[in-house]
Amino acid sequence: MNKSTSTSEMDEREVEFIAFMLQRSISEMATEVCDQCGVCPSVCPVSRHMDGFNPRLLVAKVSLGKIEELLRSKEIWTCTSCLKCKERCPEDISPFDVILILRNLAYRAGYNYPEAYDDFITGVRETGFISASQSIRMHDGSKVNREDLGLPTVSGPQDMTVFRDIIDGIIKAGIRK
Amino acid sequence: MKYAFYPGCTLQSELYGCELSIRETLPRLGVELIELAGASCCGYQTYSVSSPLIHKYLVARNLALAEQLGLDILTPCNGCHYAFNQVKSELEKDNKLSASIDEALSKEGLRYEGKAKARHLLDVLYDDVTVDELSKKIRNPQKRISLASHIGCLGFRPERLNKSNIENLEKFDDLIHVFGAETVNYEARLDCCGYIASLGNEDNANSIAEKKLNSVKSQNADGLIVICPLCFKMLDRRPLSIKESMESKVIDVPVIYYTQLLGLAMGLPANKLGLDLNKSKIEAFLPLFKG
Repeated sequence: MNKSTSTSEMDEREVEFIAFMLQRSISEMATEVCDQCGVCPSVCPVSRHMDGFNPRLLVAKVSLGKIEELLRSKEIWTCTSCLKCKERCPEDISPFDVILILRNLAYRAGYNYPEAYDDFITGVRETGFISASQSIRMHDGSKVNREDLGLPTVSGPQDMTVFRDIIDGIIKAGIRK
Repeated sequence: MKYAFYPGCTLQSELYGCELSIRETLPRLGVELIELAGASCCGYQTYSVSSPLIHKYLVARNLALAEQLGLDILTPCNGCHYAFNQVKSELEKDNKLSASIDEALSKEGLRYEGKAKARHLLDVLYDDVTVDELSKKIRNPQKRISLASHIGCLGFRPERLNKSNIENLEKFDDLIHVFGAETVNYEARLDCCGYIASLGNEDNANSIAEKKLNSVKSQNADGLIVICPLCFKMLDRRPLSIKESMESKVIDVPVIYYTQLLGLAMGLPANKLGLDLNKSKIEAFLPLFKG
């Protein structure tokens, strides 16, 4: 897990976004909307394997205002994003969307989060992609790359300097209006 | 049929066997694949956590590049396909967002007008190529095999984004029946491969995948056939770490990518389909369409 070192300023749009998420988290997810019917944990492939992960309880904690506790928890990073809960929720709440919002807030607040979420930004800044092309091992143990296999070279953005400036601009201040 | 081919990060950075098999089979079925020069990461929804705006910007950017070519995008990846379509529908509704994105795009001389669509490999095979045409291009198998199909979560969820999504389960099975194979029902058929969970907790992801593989195993299927690169990565390449983490003994399920089996059925040689790059033991598939 990583600790955010980002000190970037948030512009108006970012603030609007966070406010929107918070408002949605707290008001729309209130107890009178979620009946706590239990469909979500019964279909969740993670709940079946992991003690302590329960989308129903997670939504209950949000409606009880225990946002801070959730943002610092590991459970919000446990979901596998299969969207089953979103599909089956009879009240159209989507615990998955709630989890995505909580992850966003935890990342922004600089709480603990899996480092893969920083690797995304790093990868995109460096090559335009999450991951650069690797050499991979064949059955006989030899290593091959794209070129060896006759696969075309991955080009990426034509002018990486311009591309990176745009990405940095979005990270730093959001897209200017 | 001509598409801007968008392999996605995972396919193009390590799943060369899957990519080879797509590039070998599709042109032979009349689907021309044009390189999407200048493309970047799709903007994968999972990573909207790091930056919701970069997520949306990258989607719009790739679609704008396809628009410049006057083509729709073809992608085999459920994650990319979902991101493209989800953000596309957001941009249609949110003028303020699309104005902001357009300004950023203009710095690279790009413009998003929403003309390019993102099509999934599954849909292109089923709706454009069609099962009938596929049948004409492939050989009869030596024997009837049984396969467990796994389309992957975002291949059919959520239904609201695309009304026909749930039908994709049937579509994928129909595309497998073309091989003279039967598709078996297994308990974990609609369950996730666990890939996204691996970003936060490897053991959690491995236990989800183990359940899936063991469920396939219990039906005595000849193998598991997948179409999403992320699922392929999780189910073909990770079983060794699953074995270690779960102390499990039953993970030796052959996993094959759809266009790999399609290529074999079309009579293409195994090395052209990257079958020597699969980690699972797929040898039993190799002689299936010979003779």
